[in-house]
Amino acid sequence: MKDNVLLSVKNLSVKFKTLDGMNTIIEGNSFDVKKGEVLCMVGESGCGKSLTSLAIMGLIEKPGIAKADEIMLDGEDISGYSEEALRKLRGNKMSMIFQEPLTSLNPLFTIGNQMDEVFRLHRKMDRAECRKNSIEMLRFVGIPAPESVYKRYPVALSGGMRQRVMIAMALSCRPKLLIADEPTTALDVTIQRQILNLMQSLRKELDTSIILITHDLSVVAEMADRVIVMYAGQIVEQADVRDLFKKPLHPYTEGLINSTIRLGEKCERLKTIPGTVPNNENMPKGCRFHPRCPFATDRCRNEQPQLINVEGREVRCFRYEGSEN
Amino acid sequence: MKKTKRFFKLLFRSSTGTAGVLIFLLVCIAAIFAEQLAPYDPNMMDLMNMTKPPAWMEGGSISHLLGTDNLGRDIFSRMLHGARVSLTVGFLATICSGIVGTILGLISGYFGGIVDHVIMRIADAFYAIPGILLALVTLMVVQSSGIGTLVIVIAAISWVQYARLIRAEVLRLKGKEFVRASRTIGASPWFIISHHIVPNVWPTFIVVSTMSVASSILTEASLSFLGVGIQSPLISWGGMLSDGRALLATHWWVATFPGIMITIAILGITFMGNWLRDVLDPHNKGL
Repeated sequence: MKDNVLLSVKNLSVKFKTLDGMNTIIEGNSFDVKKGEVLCMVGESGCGKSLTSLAIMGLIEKPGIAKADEIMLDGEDISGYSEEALRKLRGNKMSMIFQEPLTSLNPLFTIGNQMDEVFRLHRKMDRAECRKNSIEMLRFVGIPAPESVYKRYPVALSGGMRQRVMIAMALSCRPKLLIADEPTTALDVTIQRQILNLMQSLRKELDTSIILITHDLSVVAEMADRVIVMYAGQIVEQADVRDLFKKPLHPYTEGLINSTIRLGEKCERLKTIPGTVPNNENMPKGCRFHPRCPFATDRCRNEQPQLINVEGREVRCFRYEGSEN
Repeated sequence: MKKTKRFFKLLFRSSTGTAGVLIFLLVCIAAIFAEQLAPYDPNMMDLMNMTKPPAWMEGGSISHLLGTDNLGRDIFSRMLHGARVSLTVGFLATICSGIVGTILGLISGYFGGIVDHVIMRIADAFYAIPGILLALVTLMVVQSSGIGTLVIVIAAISWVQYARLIRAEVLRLKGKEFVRASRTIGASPWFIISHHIVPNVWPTFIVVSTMSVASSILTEASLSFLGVGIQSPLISWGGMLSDGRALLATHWWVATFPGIMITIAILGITFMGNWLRDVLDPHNKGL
């Protein structure tokens, strides 16, 4: 493993046990996260972005089953770890924040009470130390008057403030990896901006790697160093953010980028990708994207493409065969 | 101090709540101070004063406020002592069934899987048999009818509603983001249950418990009325009702007053439960 890689996932699959047998949602995905980088995962709803991150955290619940050949986090393979061993890592080495800051805090306890949890769990601090550190963290994420917020109940805080609290909680133990599952989807645009800026500056300060899950390409352009595009449970393209926006290789990525609106551009209707995401129980044969792909050939209809290396990036498409390196 | 003030503010805002709490307190006082308050020994027979009507009726006297029964026992005194038995049974049965039902509901809801299945099927089985019938048969079989037996029997038929309600609450809470968030910071199941689930289930528990006190009192009264509950010389409202049943046509007051007492007590406790449900709503907190 290379030195600058923090997280290395090899061949991760997530399956769900259903009445009709095993239903594979994520199939054989491998990727790396480098130290201190922001990796964005994009894709439509239901393509497995969130499941991938939950699988890394070891939080897939029955009837789901996550399997991976290897999940190397900072030099240790956590794929076979017991629930207890994982619990020691969660909140400590890796953390997660969710989409819904409004419900992510227990309405019955004060902010301080809930922030102290992390320190109690992982650092075994006493009350005074917890309090001191929690207030310090609140200040760190830019909350004004942290002493007073510390004593408030969640109802008294706005969505943006609550997401800041969640970020403070997630970063309390200086995790190496922060997974942010659509952290700004529930917030309005100005607050979204603030939260993203906050995450950027915290990353620089703490040298935390971030996996940012989103379906908002403007967020990707803003935040990402590298991008993974997922479609129907598979990684279809992996590239540096500049390369991706400059020249998307996979037809799906191209479709995604084309469907956004550019500033100053006049258009009546947004461009869309025709068709819908295939149902998990009824995956098309061959390339999963072929029913919606303008370049589909007979080969695409019958044979599954593999991820291939092209110009230092990865793409799952037959069109680039021969130009690999 | 601030909390006490807030409590009374909340109480006086609701008229049914005030009524409920007042009735409940009165019944409690009657039960606790029965000995001091009762003008007569409740089991003292007075053959000179059999079936005396209440004070305000013709032939009644102020010395027996609510009259006497067919053995000349003072009904008012008996009712005060009856409150003691009824409340004891009501509370103990609620505590027993509450503890068992809540723990099973928590386990069932949080851990799911086979454990959940087993617990819930047992609950279903209990649910399928009419409670009073089960209690009746059990009490007849064991042939002992002390307070202890009665409590256990009533608890056995009423834990199911706790288990089900708490389980449903836990399932609801388990899907909440703050439980997920807590897991991502490495909290153990025990921590999550004690810090996130139990405090949120608490209001439901309190409300169900209050209602359960009422229904336990009612069950006890029914069982005593049917003759398998509290036996003489212990006095219960249900037992008094049963004693008075035969005299209903000629001496209505013997059965009527304990009947009214049961109704008022149940009503009061139910009012109190409804009020508590509003007050304990977690969304009222912190505002």
